[in-house]
Amino acid sequence: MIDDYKRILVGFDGSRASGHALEKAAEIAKTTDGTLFIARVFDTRVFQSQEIIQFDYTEPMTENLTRSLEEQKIKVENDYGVKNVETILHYGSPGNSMAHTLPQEYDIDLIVIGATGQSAVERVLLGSVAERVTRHALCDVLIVRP
Amino acid sequence: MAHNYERILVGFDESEGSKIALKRAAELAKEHEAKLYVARVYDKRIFQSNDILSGDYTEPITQSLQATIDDYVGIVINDYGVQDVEGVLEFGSPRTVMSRTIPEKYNIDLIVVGATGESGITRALLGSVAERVARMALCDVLIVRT
Repeated sequence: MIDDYKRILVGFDGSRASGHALEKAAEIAKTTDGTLFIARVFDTRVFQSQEIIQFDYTEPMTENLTRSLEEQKIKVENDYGVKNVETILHYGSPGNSMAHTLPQEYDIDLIVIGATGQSAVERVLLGSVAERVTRHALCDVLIVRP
Repeated sequence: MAHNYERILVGFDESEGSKIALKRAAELAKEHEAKLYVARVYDKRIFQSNDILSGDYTEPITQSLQATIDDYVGIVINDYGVQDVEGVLEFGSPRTVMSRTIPEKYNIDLIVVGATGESGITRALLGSVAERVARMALCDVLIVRT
């Protein structure tokens, strides 16, 4: 384990569950001296209705998301002493992005994901994104529960 | 992570997938100085057809399974240097026993499962037991693929 997980991807969406996942991922990265990739995947499908696309929300939203990611990066560096932290802001389907696109692009060997995320009802035991990642990822997956 | 996991459960069914999971679980247990539970869950439902029930297979099967568990417990102790290892033999539905029965009984905080197991078709990315454990467990789950 110590040597194996060198490139760790964690999904962060601002939810409490993803906060737990981030903490666990940070601890692993610290232990393995690996690189932690904190990914925020924004679901672009919300922009697809007509009344929304007449305004351009992209720029302020990108600024906010980037700032939020930077805050998490600093927190991980300071609180956990992880040296190599990268942030990824990605637009697309969260499930596919976390299961395929990002792991391939960044050569990930462990994906850490909260069991339930942003749109999860509390009684749901495994959210849709976590389920998709669990099912389709090609590397190891750690599902984190609070 | 180092201080998080104290009682790790790994499902073992002699499949290649579960051997990889066992190795990873042993490395984790070693690293975290956790107790490792190596569980073999035998699906009793195969005994439920009438033509089989006429003989009592339970005892020889139990002996054989127990011997296999003991072998692998020995491997984990000798090859991986894990100090505290316990073999667990349970009869029942693997998905239920692995996700709920054993974790509750032994107060498990991490379940490690191979992505595909005994009845796994190679092209299936996630076996039925792993999928159910990922979904139903109340603690963290590590799905091992590599």
